[in-house]
Amino acid sequence: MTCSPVGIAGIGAVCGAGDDIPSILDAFRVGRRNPIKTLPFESSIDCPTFQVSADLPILPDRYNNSRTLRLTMRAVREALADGGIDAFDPTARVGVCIGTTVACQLNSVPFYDAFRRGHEPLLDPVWNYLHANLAQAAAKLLNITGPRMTVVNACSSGTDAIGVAAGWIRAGLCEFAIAGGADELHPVPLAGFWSLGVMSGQPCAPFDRTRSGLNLGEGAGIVVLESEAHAAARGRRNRFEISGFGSACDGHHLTAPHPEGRGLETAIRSALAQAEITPGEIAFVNAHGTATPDNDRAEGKVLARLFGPEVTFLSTKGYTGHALGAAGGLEAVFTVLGLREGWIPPSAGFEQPADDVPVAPVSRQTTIDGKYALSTSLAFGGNNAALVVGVRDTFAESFFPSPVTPDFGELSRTGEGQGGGLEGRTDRGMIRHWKASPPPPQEEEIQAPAIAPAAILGIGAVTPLGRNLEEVARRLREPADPQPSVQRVNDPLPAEPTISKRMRRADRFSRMAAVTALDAWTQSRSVCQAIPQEKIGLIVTSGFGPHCRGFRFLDGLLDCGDIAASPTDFSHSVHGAAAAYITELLELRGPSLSTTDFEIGFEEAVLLAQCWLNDGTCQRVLVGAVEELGDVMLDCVSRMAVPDRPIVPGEGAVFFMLGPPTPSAIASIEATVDLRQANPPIGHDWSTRFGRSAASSAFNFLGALLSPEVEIARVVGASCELRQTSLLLTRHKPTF
Amino acid sequence: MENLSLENVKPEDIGDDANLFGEDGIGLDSLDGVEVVVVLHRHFGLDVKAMQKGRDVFRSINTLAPYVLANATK
Repeated sequence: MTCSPVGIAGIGAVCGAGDDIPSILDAFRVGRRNPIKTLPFESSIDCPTFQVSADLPILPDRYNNSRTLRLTMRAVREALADGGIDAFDPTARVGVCIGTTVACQLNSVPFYDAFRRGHEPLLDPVWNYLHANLAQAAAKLLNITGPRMTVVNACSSGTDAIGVAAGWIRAGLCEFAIAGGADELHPVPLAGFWSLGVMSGQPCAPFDRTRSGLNLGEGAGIVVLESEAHAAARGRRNRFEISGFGSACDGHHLTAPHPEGRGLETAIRSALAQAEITPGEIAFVNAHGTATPDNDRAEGKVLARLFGPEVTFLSTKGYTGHALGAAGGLEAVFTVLGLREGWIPPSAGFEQPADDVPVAPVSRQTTIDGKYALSTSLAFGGNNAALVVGVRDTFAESFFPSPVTPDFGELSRTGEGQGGGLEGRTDRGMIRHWKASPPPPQEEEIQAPAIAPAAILGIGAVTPLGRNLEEVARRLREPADPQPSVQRVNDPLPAEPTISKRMRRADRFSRMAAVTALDAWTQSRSVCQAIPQEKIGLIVTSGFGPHCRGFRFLDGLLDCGDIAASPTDFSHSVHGAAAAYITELLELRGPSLSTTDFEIGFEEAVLLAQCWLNDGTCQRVLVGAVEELGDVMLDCVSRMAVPDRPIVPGEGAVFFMLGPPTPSAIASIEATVDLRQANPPIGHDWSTRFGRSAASSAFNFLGALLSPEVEIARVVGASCELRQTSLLLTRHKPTF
Repeated sequence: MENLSLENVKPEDIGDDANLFGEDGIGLDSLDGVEVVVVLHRHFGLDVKAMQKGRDVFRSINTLAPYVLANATK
């Protein structure tokens, strides 16, 4: 499967090793690392972390100043400057795909503590959370109109995000894409990783004989990707490219990697195949290398198998710590730097080879002479991602002799910058000085992506009206009961004993997702059986994720202390938990992606599924949206409600098995983008029956699908400033 | 039982010498293992780091019980 490479126009980074790329290179040059013993917040956990001390931009929106978003924008600024971009031209569509873990969760400990005590805390943390979705916030700040997606695939999020963005550019959905990852140090993942027993009390030692676990870090790593055509049009040739990307899941376990690294091997082979190179052409590997016994052993085995025992590789986590969502973004940047500078630093923390690892990283600065390098990431839930970066043989000097600096205004040192209290600071360091692109001219044609719709081959749903689709369809045709105040789902326990045993630790969120995915899978079995396992992909989107389990984790944290929180609750409280169960139950081996984008999540997920089907990444994609209700959320909804516009909150899950277009399918689904917001909705708004949630567009689409008289429907998702996404349903035959 | 969500397994079903972990035992996995560490810390005050280092002690009830009795602080 060939694909055209995507140019890297610019790179930016901020992390514990340095405030920007020049200072990171300074640290790498002398092999210096700076683990810090004192945590930036109160904790009884005793461990070193890698912290960012750089000035971070203050953002204009009062609720928008999460540390993670500010880290992101600092790196975005550097990457744009590196790319000679001080404003995007109005006809360019720019996508944003950012990976993260903490930023996507509602995990303010003081807020929940007050809530538990019945103190009715101020809702500021909730507003902060709603406004700080990374991709949406970045798109709004930069006034851009391309696809946007926040990837929450745990430790491989940053790498996955870059892969997604490269796919968008190849599909013609945008000319530029800002991609990478960001995360801040936070008490919740600190307690979570501690409880899993994978954190070391010493500075980490990746691949070393004495390695005893990871150190957490924070930061942001961003690459600006650009299509070949657009670079040529603005007279610039980008020297580096994403030559290939691969993603594959283990389908093995929620927290442990497959011992032989089978998913990682599939991902690497896929990336090499896309780049059309052999393993021997890889000059070096930036490994995931967290320094946990399990990761380094499994990853080391894969590196030995594919590249031989003498492979040149390092882990940079000895310099940055494990920055979770930021790791993949940072490491992509470091991979470019290795090729650009012609050297890689010693693998910090490594001193002696380990008996259980068949390879050893470089222990001194090593000259690099080659055209390709590989970055790998392994994540909880068994997600594996591999990125091949390449150097182009010939490139002309850019017509722009020196990089420009976007006028972000003076960066100012600040305190937390979260929530209230920006009075007196509004004139300094504001991103409003950025030359935002004007909106596209009115007469511009609707930007329809040239991507075929996807065929719906199987449907699954768990709804307040039930799980049996014929029953749900019947109830939709009946008049509604007097309006309930909330739409809940009866607890869906998987009936089959083998499945219910494997899901013994799962909560409602993961169960709803698993049961629904299983239904869609079962319904489409006959047309999926012959498909190779690694060609079936999975995308699960959720605005609020498994927040109920997250609050249970906080219960343990508050009741028993941060050294005795529950690792089972923690690992189930990350967005990717549902996808992990689904990949295990269905024995999936292809790309698995968890995303969070509130009310546009499902549209962007369908759009991505169409890309994967069209470019050959997958032959089938299982796509779903999941939302759950819980005490905290219901309380927030009731306190935030506008009296004359009541909301009936809902929950549930909807999954579709998608494939390439075929007339024998029930219907087709197509995500369309309308920059003029001219397309009216066609069809009914079913949110009064299903309740309203971040998954409402998925439920509205389901309602249309279950209404036999509906031949065509357009479900309009939320409009985000300049971009409106909608889902077009075209029926081929009756659903039942 | 409750902490590990082991439905349909009663305490008397677990033989004193049976392997707790692995396919040929009760079937607990690595995530159960770290959960047990936390549960033991909460109930008996056992030191988390010490338990993470000495994993052999978790093999069966027969190996675990003496460890708990010898080290409990609650």
